[in-house]
Amino acid sequence: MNARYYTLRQADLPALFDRARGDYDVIAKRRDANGNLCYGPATSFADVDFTAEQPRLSAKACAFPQIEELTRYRREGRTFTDATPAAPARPALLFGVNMCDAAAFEILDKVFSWDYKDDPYLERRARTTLFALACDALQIDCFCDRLDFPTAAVDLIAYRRGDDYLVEVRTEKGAALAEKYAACFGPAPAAEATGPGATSPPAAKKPPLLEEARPQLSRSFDHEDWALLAGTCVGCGTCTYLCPTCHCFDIQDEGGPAEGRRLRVWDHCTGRTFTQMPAHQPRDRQFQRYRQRLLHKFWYYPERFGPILCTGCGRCITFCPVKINIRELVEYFGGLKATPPGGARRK
Amino acid sequence: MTPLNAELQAAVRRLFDDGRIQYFLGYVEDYGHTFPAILTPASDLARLTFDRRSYHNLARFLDEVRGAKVGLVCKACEVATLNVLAAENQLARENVVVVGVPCPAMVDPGRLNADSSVPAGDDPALWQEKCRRCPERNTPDADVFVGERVSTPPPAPGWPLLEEHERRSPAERRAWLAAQLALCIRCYACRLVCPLCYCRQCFVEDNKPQWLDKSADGENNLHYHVIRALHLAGRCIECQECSRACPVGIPVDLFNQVLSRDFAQRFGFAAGRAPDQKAALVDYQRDDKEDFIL
Amino acid sequence: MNENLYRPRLVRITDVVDETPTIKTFRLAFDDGDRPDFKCGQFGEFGVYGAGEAPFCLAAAPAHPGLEIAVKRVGKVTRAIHNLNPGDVLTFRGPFGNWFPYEDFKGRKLLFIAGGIGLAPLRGLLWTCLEHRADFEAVDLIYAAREECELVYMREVEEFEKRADMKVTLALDPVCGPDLIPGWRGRTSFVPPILEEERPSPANRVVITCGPPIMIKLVAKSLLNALGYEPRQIWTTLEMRMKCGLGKCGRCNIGATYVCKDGPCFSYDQVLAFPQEF
Repeated sequence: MNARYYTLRQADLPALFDRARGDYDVIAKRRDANGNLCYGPATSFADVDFTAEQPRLSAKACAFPQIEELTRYRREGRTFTDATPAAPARPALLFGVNMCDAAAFEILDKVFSWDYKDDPYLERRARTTLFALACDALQIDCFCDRLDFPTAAVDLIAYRRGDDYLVEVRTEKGAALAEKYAACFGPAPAAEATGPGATSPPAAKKPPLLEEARPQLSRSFDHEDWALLAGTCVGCGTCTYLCPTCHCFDIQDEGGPAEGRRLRVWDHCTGRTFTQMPAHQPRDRQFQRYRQRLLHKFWYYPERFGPILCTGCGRCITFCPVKINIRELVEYFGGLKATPPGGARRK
Repeated sequence: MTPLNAELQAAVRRLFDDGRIQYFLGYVEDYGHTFPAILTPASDLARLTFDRRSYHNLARFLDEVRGAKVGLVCKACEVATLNVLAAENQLARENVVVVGVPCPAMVDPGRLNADSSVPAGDDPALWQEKCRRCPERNTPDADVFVGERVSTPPPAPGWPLLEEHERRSPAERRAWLAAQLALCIRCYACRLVCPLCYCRQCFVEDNKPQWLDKSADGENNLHYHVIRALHLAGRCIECQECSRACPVGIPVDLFNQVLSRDFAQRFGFAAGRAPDQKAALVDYQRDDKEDFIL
Repeated sequence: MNENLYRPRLVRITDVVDETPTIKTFRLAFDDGDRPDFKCGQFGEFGVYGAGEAPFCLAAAPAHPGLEIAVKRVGKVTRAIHNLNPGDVLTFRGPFGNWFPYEDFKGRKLLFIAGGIGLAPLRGLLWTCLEHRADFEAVDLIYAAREECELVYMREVEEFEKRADMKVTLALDPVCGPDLIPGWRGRTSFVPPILEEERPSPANRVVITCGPPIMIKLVAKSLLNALGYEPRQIWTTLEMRMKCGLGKCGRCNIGATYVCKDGPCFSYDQVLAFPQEF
């Protein structure tokens, strides 16, 4: 379908929000109890922070919540009755989501829909409309300019134009929203009626794409510098849980033998027990677990499904307790850079 | 490169060349950040630094180089940690070369500039909270000291964050706590940066019995933080790495401060003063107060 | 939500057999409909509501009714399963994974090499081959364990030993030295020395092996290096920690492979191509 462009004035944002709230569960950027930016349900525009600033957690919980009930069981004599929870009734609108977070859904769709259809994820995904707000510039840690992440499934994108926005409609879902709330949108300026004058983020000179690291990366598994460069990884779940594309999960029963729930919960492959078996642990050193995460994102996933499992949001660098830098490590082990980050080297 | 860093790099190079150490745990600066690194004789030391973003507790990484001769640059925080580890038979102090430095007080990560650089000026309001209470800027018991010793400003008394919290009513405290615990995503960054959480299998990983559900809900989160604090009772040296590491900004170390204050006020005890100091919970004095026991 | 793929069916335990002090066989039947069709090598996610799920290979031949699993009591879920009796139910999702290329095995000499509970993943295939014995030039078994108490299905193995058309070799680890273990009538040896002594010829042969990872590696090494086998003549079934069983949760990845989807049955040339971390 043809992309269509509109103007959205800053002054019309509250009206757009209020109308949308009548039809959608709106999830927008807002401040949490500590004043940090997060995605959360918003029922009043006064709570919304319509900014390109990056919330600490990504938006993946909209389709892949941290705790998801798969079934609820109850013992009946020697057997059980169980039931799956009802799907949320209303559609959801991600209002002002970062591009790096919005693009992640198309990447995640691959693993959740190949072969077996993951109904819990796909149903939430189908009911969610993505209305992105594009950034104006890269921050210190983000590196979306080093990746070609997919944006075809981002339903609408707002680009800043002074105080107002140029809105690009990219999908039928986006077109439906723009049509429903047509009163909030105006025609795009003639110069941009067929395309935004500037892309987001501003693409100045482009250093090599991280995709180019893959051939060398796929030969780097036994490189002797992994133990030092990934040796400070503490094995927490920060990078994984904040990441828009990480999707490893666990299935846990919680409750008791008489009644309870079987849940899907987030898990992290960097954790010590992730592959722990009673008699065998294939990744018993921390650097092996970190290596798994990096190679999964930049080699195994694209080999299997096409896109790199990363949108360059940089959260894993910003919030890593020890500032391990996945971009630098991909460059080093992928042969795009000769010197290791920080200078640590074994040889 | 600062004079301190030049001296530090030279000292570490000497330690390697003399064969006194096989690994060095230090901070390096790269891609706009300062972060811990494990360095070997083959490493390039040009990025080795000690600056106002050297937050980490490098004693945490001793386990990665277990069995080898290791050196590490220490603040007073790390030395206190080494003392507790030695008292708990987790390390042989003679295998560790402590490189001491004059600590300039760390800048609160939340107060760094957007590009991660350190803001100008030395207002204590910019510092990490623990640094305002620090009694010793110059690393005690260092094997090698680099740089010029500095004077230590008088430490702020008491536990100001705790006292501020306790000025709230019980209902306000409950609400605040519930709001903080609702943010917790059980990433375990707090536990995993702590050098004293060194159990091979932590209680959170047990499943026979399973003490905690894996769900990151308020009740399980509360139990996790409280139990972890209790496991650190009388051991925590208040490096505040747990709070610094929390990706959602929970001041996790407040749980630990409650207990540290109890030990200080009731028993005159602080962890990490000496490598042969018995842990508070495995020792007693004849004149210990018992007025809280029925 | 629609019926979702994480909602299990319930299967009823019809029979429990104590194989060893720590291993039980559970025979299972479906009360809510037909047993799903499956092929040798596949597995299912079985569980107890309240304790959780774990992957278990389907240990009986597809031609037999119901399902069978061998459960070693090692953890929370297996302990909960061990506490159940005939009449109790388990949750079941499956069948998952790939299967042994049975059609390609026809006409060949098959050598099964199993270690301890590793006989269970091979048992369905072994029974199917024996029940169509004429389709194969040979069906032989080397069955080894660290200690006698780790051998499973011994009543069946004793029946196999009586067959004229099957060679069965039993072995226990020589942990007590080379002396015979009192009362033990089999070999006292690791498997590779047995192979290098008996020298089964690679001509028209397929080896199917399952057991602890170290056993699989050393058996393969012996076959490849000392006995002239090609990697594609060796088949194995790999165990990795699994949760979803269907290629989503990422736990069982080795490289770009999902053991739960692309495996658990692999030929050894596939195994050699993995990043070496299993």
